[in-house]
Amino acid sequence: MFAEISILEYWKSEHDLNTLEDACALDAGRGLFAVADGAGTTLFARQWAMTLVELFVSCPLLSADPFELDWWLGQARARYTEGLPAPERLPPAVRQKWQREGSQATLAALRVVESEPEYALVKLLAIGDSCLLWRRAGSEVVESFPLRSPAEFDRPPLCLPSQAALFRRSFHRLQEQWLRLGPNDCVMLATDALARWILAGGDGSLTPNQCFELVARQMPSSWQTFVEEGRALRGLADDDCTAVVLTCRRTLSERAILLGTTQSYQATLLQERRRAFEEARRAGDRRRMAVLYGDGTAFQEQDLVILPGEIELARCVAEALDELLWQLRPLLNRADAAEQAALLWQSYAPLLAAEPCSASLRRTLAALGVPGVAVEINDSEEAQPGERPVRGERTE
Amino acid sequence: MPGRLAFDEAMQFPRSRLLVPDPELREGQVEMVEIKTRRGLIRRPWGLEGGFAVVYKFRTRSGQARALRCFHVDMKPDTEERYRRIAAYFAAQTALQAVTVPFTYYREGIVVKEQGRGEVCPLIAMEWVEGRTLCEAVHLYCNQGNRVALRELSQRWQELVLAMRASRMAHGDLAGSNILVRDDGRLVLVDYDGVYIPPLAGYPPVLAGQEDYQHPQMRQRPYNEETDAFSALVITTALKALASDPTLWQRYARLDAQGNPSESLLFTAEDFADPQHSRLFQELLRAREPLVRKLTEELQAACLQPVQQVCFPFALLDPNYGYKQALKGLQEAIANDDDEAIIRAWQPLLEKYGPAQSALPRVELARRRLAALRSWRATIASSASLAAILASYDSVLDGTRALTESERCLLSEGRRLLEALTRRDDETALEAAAALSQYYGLKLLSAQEQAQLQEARERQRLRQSWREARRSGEIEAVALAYLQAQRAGLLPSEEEERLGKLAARFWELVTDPAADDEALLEAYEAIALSPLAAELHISAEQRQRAELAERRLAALARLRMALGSRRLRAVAEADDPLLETCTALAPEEKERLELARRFYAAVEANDDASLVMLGEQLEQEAATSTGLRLSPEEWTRLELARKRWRAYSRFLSALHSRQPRLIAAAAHPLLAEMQLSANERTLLELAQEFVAAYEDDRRLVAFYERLLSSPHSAFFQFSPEEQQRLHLLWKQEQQWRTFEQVLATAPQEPAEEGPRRILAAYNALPEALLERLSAEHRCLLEQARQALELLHLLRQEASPEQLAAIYTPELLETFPSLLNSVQRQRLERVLLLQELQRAWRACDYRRMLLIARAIPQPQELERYGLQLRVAARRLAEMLQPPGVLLALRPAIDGNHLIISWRWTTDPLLRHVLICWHTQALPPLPQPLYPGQLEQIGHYRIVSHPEPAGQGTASLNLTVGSCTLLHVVVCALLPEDWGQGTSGRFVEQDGRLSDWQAADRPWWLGRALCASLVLGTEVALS
Repeated sequence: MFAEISILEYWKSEHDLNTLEDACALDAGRGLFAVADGAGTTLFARQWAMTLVELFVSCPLLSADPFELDWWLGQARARYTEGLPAPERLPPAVRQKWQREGSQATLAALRVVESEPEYALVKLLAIGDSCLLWRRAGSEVVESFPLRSPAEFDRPPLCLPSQAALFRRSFHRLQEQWLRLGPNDCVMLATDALARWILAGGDGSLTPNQCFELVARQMPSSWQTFVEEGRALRGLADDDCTAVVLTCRRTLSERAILLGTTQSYQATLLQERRRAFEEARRAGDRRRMAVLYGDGTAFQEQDLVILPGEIELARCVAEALDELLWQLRPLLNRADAAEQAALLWQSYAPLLAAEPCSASLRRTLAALGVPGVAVEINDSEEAQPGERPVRGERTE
Repeated sequence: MPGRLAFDEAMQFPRSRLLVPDPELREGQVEMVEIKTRRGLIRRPWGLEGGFAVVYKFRTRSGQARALRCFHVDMKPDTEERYRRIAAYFAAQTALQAVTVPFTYYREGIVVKEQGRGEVCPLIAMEWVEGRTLCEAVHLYCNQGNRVALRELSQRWQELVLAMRASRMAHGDLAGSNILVRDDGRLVLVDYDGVYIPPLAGYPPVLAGQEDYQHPQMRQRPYNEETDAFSALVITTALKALASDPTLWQRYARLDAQGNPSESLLFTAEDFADPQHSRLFQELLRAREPLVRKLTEELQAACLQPVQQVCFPFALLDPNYGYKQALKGLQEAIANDDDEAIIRAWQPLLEKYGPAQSALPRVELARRRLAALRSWRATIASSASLAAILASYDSVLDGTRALTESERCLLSEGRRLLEALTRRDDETALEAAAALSQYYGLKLLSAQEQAQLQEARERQRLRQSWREARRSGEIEAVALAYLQAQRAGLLPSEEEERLGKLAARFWELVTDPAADDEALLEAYEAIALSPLAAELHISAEQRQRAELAERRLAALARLRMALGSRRLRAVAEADDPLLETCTALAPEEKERLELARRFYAAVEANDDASLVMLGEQLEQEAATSTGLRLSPEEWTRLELARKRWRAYSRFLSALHSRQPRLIAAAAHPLLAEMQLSANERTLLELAQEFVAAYEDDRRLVAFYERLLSSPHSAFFQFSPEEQQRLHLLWKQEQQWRTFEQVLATAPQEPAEEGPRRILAAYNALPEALLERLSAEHRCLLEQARQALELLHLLRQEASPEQLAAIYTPELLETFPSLLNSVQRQRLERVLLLQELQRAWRACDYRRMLLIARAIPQPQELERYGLQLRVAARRLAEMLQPPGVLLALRPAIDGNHLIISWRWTTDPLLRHVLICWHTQALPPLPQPLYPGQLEQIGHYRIVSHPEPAGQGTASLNLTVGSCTLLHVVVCALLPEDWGQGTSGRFVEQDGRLSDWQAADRPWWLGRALCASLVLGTEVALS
């Protein structure tokens, strides 16, 4: 299958490319496309959004499994922090806010899994209000994912956080959907303002199909004029407007290029992931094992021996540790922190008391004065001054 | 409120976002800070974020630095008012001008967008102070060991504290970061969110303050000029201590990872929470400098005191501070001419303080005045007479400000009240009493004074009431006010007297329903004709009442004229509904009017009974000399009523007998004109119908049915003979209906059940009913008999001729369920074979072949095989496909024979044979057997797929290279009867298909032959 591809980007009024908080990236040869919308209420939102989309097209997330997402976000965080100055070099006000809230962004991504002359099978992944919209050839129905109606955009969107401490597997759930595209089908990855505008039929004077058609017809050179007119005349919100438009074609043409596919992770990445998994296994760090194992797809083709129940136990430990940390964090500044933490620890102690991955947590609890928390001598010795647990943050 | 980042964004676009009117600001630019990332530089506005607001450094159009302060938390609604008062206060207080900066509060300062929605937020613009924070300055001087600078700093701080106290101001959030040290060493306070100034007394407190500067009970801190007592003591102590020993900073200051000082100044909240065990407190209590020790002791004590009791120890900074403060208070009281404040401000310590002695005479005057005031207040509290209170007032109190507003009012308004009561000046007296009662009610007045006041009030009320009534002009208001004023002896002027009387008279009559109409009209006209008419407003209702009286008088006059004529009709015509309420109508007039009214009502209603009853009364009336008399027409009408009444009486008597013949006989023609009741009329009609129908059976039955279905079914009393006849006829009717029902339902029943039931019902009919049988009935009976016969023959396997003889199509229409499917099929075959024979005899070969195709069993047709073959041959000779077009066209892969023709709807023309050869084709055999096709040459048979479909057929046949081609086209009629064939598409070229056995011949239609030259076309017909 071939596709004609348009990349459409324009920013909020008064702004410019440097302050655009949307980001998009694609690798048509591997069938990877992504858009993200950095949350303007957080710092370095554009940097985080760009990190997510660039990571997706270089190392795509293959499924919406929470542990797989946790592993993938770990990759994203590593890239993201590499690109920013060290926290102590940030202005104090910026540093505090960034350490407290980090950055947040929504994400919508498309991966081509099969590309045949008559069809392309794609997998959609999304979180928040960045959307994928599509229209079948000859149809006037515009379908969308993950949001289906304009009213759903009123709710604050779910965002992927750059701070590990703010990520919850049970809460930050990606949604996924399979789609089979035929010749002349058109699919679009769009950030919230544009997606909402299309689904609402502009200011009500158009149909979603007409709006979709108007956007699908745009070229990068006409996009700025289109967006400005849309804001002035057709009810388009004054927000960053980003879209990647793919129109499927059966044959090659001047604008159409061949859609490639991606079905698995790259071999080097798989080897690195396996090495890290075996290292975590040797260290007995079950939380890290659970995250590295992800949904297990990465290890299917490898001759890795997994013991019965090993992954299930690792996931239980990871869930328990993360849940405990999540509940503990707001308690730390309370006067009765020790009592509250003790009650909390009682619920999780059977699972976590002997786990190496809970060592720093146990040190924190012992320092708070929670009775009966076993702190191994090795824990204290191993902890370097720079690695001491920071109050209210997850330590890994 | 929007978040910090939203404000950051807004600050970057001052031209569009700043709403302040100052172009210097709108065309300026916020100072930016740059952050290097791997993706490039990120520029962000530089801003300091505090608890309530973020402060941006802003460069105006002309390059001056300004501080723009934006609130990022919701502020109280009175924030703008507070800032307005604070700005004005700072500007007015000389002492504060040096230690504060002027600012402007803009309620609509900046447009901030978040989530695409814009919000207008307040903004404070102020001077940008270049310098260091107090903490930074202390950090610098201590690190340098610069005691001189530290002492200078401490001295400046003390001056600032005294200046604040002198201006009675408190900052609310004194802290190292809110005190700036200018480059020349002067101190400036910034951040005025929590400021207290006297104009803000009574406002709810703003809880600002950093815990390293605040008392542990900061939340209970008072909101007044003592708000800063604790934090000022903290800073004073810290600065004094550091000036004495700068090394304290190295030991106690908190520094961050980069070595920068935190916002605390030596002391922390932990020190204040437990001063007894604070290492810093211990060390400062042992300091060499006594003032440091004393300040530390004060601070330690303050930590342990309730926050409300903490005071700043100004005496430690200035020994005469107490005298100066006391004298300042006294001077302020004298300046305000406030005797009570003067007495309060005269403190014992001033008695020996020289500068205070010159104020002593003023203090004495204040004392005398307060004594007189106490005495007068005692009189006010105990006395029950206004005159006595006023008498006890001492003139020394003239001019004092100690008198309360109420007391001043008592003095002035009390005097005014007593004078007005004496002069009977009611209006002034009431005004004075009202003013007095705002403060004291009327409790200061004696009973006599109160009675006088009440009389004045009543008089005033009546005057007011009369004035209002005159202003309104309302009859009722004027009349009532006049009557009240008259009773109170408040005699108005002569003109007002006249006006009052006119209104009172009219109002009295108009409100009395029984008032005499003539008197009412007179009063009404008196107003209308009076010169004062314009001052009185007669309401629409009152006017209607007067007009009613006028109309009623007219009606009465008309009635009396009619009564004088003695004519009954004239009286009836003079009747008017208004007379019902006329009180002037005499009883005999009323009686005659009623008589006439009733007579004509009865005539109108055609009510003979009433007319008959009135007749006697009218005859008596006519006999009197003045009584009403009937005209001849009225007499005629009365007589008619009497006749009809008699006829009706007779009818009623007959009705009571319940005998229909008597009732019918009592029917008088006059009854038709009368309004009989519905029941009476129905019974009369029934009785008449009975008599008329008695000799006619069908009609009598109809009567009886009508009677039984009516509510009067049991009314009539028939004679035994009549009753017997009715019952017999009724029974026969029921039998007939049963018979008709069988005829209607039985034909639907299966097999012989229906015909048998019909014949059984017929047999059960009594003789008397046979004459009611119609032709249709008899036909149905005949069909029932034939149906039974047909069934019998079918069961007996009778010959087709016998079956055909008895069968008619109507038979199965009448009895659709007579035959089962086998019987029906057999019958249909018999009928088809009969039809086949008829067609043979009529030489209708087409019909024969169509019938033969419709018969599926070949054995049935064996007898007719020869006839069918003859029919097929003869018919085939007439078959020919229409519109045949042939063309021979050259092509690369050999020549092409293109043939087209039309299919018609003829079900027998379904197959076409095309033969071609370069040699001349021999004649085709008739009939043609499939095996013979091989000998002919090239051929193709084309069949139409549908039994009766039409359309155009077209073939493109490759015929090889040739210049001349012989072609024959003809229809094919296969011998396909007895096979149940249906149309099938077959296209053959040298192969036999499987749809017809090889031994069954085809009959060829008329052959269309052509010899085609290459590149030519031929149409064949």
